[in-house]
Amino acid sequence: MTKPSVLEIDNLQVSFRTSGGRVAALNGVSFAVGQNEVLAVLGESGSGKSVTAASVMGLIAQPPGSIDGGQIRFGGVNLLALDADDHRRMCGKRVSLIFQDALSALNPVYPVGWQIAEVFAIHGMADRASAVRHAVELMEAVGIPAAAERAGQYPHQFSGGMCQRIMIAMAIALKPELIIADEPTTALDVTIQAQIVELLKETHAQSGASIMLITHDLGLVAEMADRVVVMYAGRVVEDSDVYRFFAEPLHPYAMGLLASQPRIDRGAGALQPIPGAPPNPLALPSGCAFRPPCPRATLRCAEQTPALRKLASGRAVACHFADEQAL
Amino acid sequence: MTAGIRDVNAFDDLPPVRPAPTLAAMLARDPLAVGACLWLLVVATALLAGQTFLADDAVRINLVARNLAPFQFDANWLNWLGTDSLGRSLVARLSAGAGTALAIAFAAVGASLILGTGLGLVAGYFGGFAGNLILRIADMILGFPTLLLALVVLYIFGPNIFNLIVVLAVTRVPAYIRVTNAEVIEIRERLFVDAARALGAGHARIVFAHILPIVAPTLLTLASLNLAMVMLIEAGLSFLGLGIQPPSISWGLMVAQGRSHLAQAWWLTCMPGLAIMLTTMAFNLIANWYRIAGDPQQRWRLAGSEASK
Repeated sequence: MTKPSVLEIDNLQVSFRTSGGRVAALNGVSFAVGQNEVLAVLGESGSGKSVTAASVMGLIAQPPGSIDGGQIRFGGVNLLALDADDHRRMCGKRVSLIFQDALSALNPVYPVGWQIAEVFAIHGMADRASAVRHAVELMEAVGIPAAAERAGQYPHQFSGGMCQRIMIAMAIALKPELIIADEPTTALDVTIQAQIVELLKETHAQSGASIMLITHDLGLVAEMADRVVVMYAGRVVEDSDVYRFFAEPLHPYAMGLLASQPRIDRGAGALQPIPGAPPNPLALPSGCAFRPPCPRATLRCAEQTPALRKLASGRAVACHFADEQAL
Repeated sequence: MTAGIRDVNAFDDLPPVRPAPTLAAMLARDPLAVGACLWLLVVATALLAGQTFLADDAVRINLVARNLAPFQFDANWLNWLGTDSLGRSLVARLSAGAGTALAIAFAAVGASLILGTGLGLVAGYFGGFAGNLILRIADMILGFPTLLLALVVLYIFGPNIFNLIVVLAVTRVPAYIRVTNAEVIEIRERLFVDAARALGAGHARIVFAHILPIVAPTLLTLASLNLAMVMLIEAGLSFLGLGIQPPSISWGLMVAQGRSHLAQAWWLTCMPGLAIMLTTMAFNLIANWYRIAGDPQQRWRLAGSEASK
């Protein structure tokens, strides 16, 4: 946090119109990604992780979505105030996105080499011939054997892990300052996951780009991240460096998450689930959204939504009672 | 975390690299498409002949050789497909009529394909007010019987080839709009469209480079079907006296003119009818072949036998 930030998200509010009414997906999300930092955004399905990424990339379809407030500052510029064309020109070049399902994220009718070369073409960075040459180099860089021949093949001829490598090649093609990886390993089996994680770490080490890693995999967080932002029901509930997060989570939800994971250093007792179900976004409980399953909830939690407070340790938490433990 | 990222053994499950088959090789694997190409070659030759050295024979009256039956190969080769009630050679007339029939069909289908696809892409991709307007106009045209609309318009503006093409194009446009719109609505929600946008692609690039190539095979198949339909509607209009006007020659008009002689000279309707049928079938087969050849996931069906195991 002492480093300057690449991306600063400030009080971002996004909602979607549905048949059941307006759903607030993000209720004032704030966090920052530092330079050369790997930030993990951790949360369960529906907590707003992917909506945050989509907002940064300008992928929120409006309607049905609408960005109701806040700022996304990238390199000091508020992306939400940019016109669509200027925003678009940044995407892929200064900030890029890696999707969870790489096979669907590639166009089925074009060879993969063409699709990587397309990144250069979109931004007018190279003529077609040198773009194709760059594409083959990138395929080699992400560990695809016989890249020159493979460049002419189509996505359906690749395995999931190979497609994810192609996505990563596209994401790093123009050396962006920030790479957003939206659950990059979720669709892969464990051995391929390990390879992709290695590749992401290597990419990070070589390019120095910041990575915003969206995941619900605590193992991946421990493996890669410098810092963790925990989201719950469209809010940031904890923002902490990764070591202290695992050693001493501050928010009751984060504690619940860690307690529900099997750990090799903790013996084979029964795991503790978080009771109840994730909150219905159409009818969030008053005050703190984590109030119903929270073991520490009091009347105050129903009346007053806890703000994200910065603690003396540099960590931040959105819970009325977190101080007692932070000491 | 032990697997090295350049561990080549990790890719054992991949199919081996093999060169993509060329278009000619893929055509050779489909005998029906080859036959279709050969027939179109015959039609093209006839068309050229009909515009040049057969043009006079197509209108030369020979009352001695009236209503000659076809397939009498001892006679003059121009009469091999028979003659009409004025003794004019059917070979020459079919050749001369090919030009008009194909020009009208291609112009009408081409115009409706381009216009309908363009409007369908706008309606499907952008939606909104403009999209709704386009779709409602398409509904209005669809709600009108094609032949009735053509009759009214040609009656008012006069039956010439240009008006005929415009009427045929306009009445076929809604089909392309609706098909394109339906496909685009599905494709624009696919992840690779979002991925292209996240890489910075603009609307034009997304529509033309990412969406159109996936819709195109469907539209070309539809267009090949419409070639037949347009030729038959032209025949119908000519039959009603509002299509091609004699002495111009067209396959549709020949079918119409032969009708009154059906009992005595079946070949006057059957030969041009057969020409329409074979030509449209040829376009259909080629469109069908292209649908497979143009799809990377289907293409292996047209690859050599050693690759299709």
